[in-house]
Amino acid sequence: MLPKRLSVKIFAAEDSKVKPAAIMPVFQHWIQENTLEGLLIDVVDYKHVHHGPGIILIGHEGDYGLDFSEGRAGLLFTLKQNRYETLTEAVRESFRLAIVAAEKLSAETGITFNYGEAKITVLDRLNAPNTPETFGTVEAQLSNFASRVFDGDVSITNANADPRDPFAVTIQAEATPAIETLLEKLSLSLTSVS
Amino acid sequence: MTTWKEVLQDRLPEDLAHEIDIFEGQIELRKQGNLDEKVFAETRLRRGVYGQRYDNGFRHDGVQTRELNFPSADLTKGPNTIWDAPGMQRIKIPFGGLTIDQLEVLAELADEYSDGILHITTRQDVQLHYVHIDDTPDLMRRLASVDMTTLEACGNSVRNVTSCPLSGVCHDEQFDVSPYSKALAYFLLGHDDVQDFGRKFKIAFSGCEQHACGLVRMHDLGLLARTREVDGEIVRGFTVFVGGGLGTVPHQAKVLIEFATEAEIMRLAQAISRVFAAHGEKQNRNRARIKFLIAELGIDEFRRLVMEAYESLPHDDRWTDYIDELPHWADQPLKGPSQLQIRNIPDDFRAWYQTNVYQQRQDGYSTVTVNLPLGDFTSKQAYQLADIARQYVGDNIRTTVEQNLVLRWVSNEDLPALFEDLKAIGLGDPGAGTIVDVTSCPGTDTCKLGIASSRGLSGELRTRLIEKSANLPDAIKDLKIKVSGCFNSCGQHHIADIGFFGNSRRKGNHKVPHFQVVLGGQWDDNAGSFGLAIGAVPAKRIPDVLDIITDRYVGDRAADESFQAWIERLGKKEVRTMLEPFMDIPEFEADPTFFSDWGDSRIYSIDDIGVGECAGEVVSLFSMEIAKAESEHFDSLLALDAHDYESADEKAYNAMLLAARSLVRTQYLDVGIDADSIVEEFRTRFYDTKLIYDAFAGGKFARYMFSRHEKPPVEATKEGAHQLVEEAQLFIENIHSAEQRINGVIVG
Ligand code: SF4
Repeated sequence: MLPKRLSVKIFAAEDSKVKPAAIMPVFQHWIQENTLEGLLIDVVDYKHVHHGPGIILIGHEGDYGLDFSEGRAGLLFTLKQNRYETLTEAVRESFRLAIVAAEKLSAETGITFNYGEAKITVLDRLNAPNTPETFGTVEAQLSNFASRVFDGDVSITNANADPRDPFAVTIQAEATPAIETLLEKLSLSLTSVS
Repeated sequence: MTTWKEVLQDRLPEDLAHEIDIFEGQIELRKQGNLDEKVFAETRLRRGVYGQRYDNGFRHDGVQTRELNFPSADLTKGPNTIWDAPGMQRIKIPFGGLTIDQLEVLAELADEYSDGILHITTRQDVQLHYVHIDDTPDLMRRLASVDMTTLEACGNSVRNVTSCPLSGVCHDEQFDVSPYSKALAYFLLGHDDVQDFGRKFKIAFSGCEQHACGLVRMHDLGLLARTREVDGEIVRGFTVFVGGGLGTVPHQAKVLIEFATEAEIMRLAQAISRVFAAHGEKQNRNRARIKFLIAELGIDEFRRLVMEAYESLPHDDRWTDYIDELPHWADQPLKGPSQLQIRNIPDDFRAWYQTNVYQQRQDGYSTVTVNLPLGDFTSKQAYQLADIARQYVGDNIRTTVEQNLVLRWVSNEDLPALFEDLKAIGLGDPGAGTIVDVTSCPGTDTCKLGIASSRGLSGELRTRLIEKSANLPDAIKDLKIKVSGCFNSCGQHHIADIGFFGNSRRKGNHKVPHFQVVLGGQWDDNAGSFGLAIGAVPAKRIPDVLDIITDRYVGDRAADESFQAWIERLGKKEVRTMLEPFMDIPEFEADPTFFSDWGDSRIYSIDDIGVGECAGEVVSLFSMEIAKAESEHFDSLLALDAHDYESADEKAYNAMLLAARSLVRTQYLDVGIDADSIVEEFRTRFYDTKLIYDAFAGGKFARYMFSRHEKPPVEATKEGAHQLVEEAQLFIENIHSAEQRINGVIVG
């Protein structure tokens, strides 16, 4: 299964102080300084929307956002131009880009992130309807990858109960890995982690 | 891989499916360089596929203008509009009517093609932003599967037909205008007589004169419900207004006809469209709205032309067919009527009830306004609202021109539970239709013409007003604030008590975002009068200006004196004196915050202002219609590739007919769509007269069409289909060059 779009969300740590108003200037200067990979276009402010996408740094290949959906703040990367050949590859790259952005945001704002949990949402109801069959397919494709990246036991659970919602899974690691280890594993060639 | 086209093929209305296929074909043609960019721009605009800020590939980042290196490089979707740049998709919601299924599909689309946000516009449309053009055909198919369309949502055509969100449940209305607005919206959708406008054309219906909801006086065509007694019977009809509009210079509409019956209004709208297409300005887009034509001709001459067109129109059963359906039009309440029974009313419920609940004319029912901040809600909230609608009101959902949603036919005893459910999804805010419910156009967030951040300012005002809402004096609670990002007035600032529109001023080497303050406009009486521009104030001082104006009004006003009357009594000079202390701009070094806009941390610049697409390019009717022939021809090539020779033959033949029709319609608008009529008119007008003749080939290419028309193949063969596809190509080229010879232009 190769979806058109997917997103990876890394959650802010429970005790992290998240002030949406402080994010806009950070994203603006990331555009000025080409801080992240890919073409960065503009920043959009949805902080007035309840449990919404917060502040989004719109890009061409993907968007980065400080997202508040489901009432939990987190760094959300949405892959919009999926040029990868497998689901695992698309998830790995999206995960890596999300972590890089989260680390940079952390350095500038003090928000801390919990890298032991990630939500992966497949924004493609045609290729990935929110069904048990899709869960089976995705779990089979991601479990090996996830346990190698997190270096140990992981659980993969269906994250969106409502069948109308896009299909999503939560990957939860038993132990939170060190960020350096995580990034190193995500940067390795796919064959070595899948 | 399965496609949406395959999955939905049995669920799409045939005409919409075909329209979308044509557009998909045109996308391919444009990518191959075989469709002119101006023609493509107009064709996408007529499908609601709109440009967005920075789509020219440049953006000022606060320090310098940077090039946005989109991968599509030189491919454009219109002049200076890069293919890969994100765009906006507008979706028409005729009379604002939405069903649960439609709401759920909109939620899916916002997730998968946009940024997860649905936005309600001041014309009851829904907009999705940051959409890639390659996704639009599938997006349209998914909409069409629930009877929704984007057709003619933008461009020089008839835009969404709006009407009061309370029609059918309102105490003041003459009768329910909803079925009339729906019928007119679909009668004019894609109609031949609305394809050749120099600019957009907006229509609204209103159920009564004194209240505002329909705003008929600010529309190109406004229809105000009336009844008359004729021979002892009450007859329904409308006062017909024409030539109203906001825009740079607002115009109050004029009465075209005091009373047109329900049997006359479709035909009348068609006649008005025909006069606008024939006589309206086409080259100078600044004077191309119908209001300029009416000002130039005078209402009497305009009326004469309309009545002349009215008499000469070929008969169309659809003028009156819809009347048979009217008796069957009725909202279906989900539940029976009931009375609200509540003890110990909680404060939050009381506040919400006062502003967001309207007791319907039908005893035991209410209409509830769901207050959407800046018109936005998430796809998740859309699903949750769909669940709420399923539980309380069924399909009785409407969008409003104040960028909210209403749930109609709530059984009164359900109100407390409904309130709790709305609160749980973050949509239980009170204050609908009051001073905190600020309306805003997209402004610099996404609009290419935006000068200042209307949404940024609106968000700021809203936050501040909500903070102090418990202590706001009653006198100002119901004032309306509306904000536009520029003088074009999409935020409808002219008809607000307190309106603002964006502009800019210079201080030293810096530009400073400003808002012009417009006071005393009138929402009531269907946009009864327009506000006065008082002066431009730096954007960052607008919240202070709002405070000073409202404080003074509260202190100064005579008992029951309206805001409009107070502004008039004070006079422009005195009001300006009140604002003057706020007009100064500090030096940049003293306060750099003045040099950034609301909701934007960049140093302000106006370098990003681009060329708007509000009107689209003015592209001739011929160019638009021949583009359809080319797209059909392209489909015939695809069918050949797929070895589907029957389809290739049929499509090539259709392409020839469409090409012939495009030329015939430069002389005879009413040719219709019947193949025999097209061929006959073409033969008489262009073949027999030799106008179509090529210098070398004579009438050969036309004879290709005649031959296929007269002798369709008994069985489509590979060779036969190949030949016809080739011939169709030559015929289309022949039509192009003949049109150039005859009319001297193709595009523009
Ligand atoms: S008023 Fe101006 S800024 Fe606002 S949407 Fe219209 S054209 Fe754009």
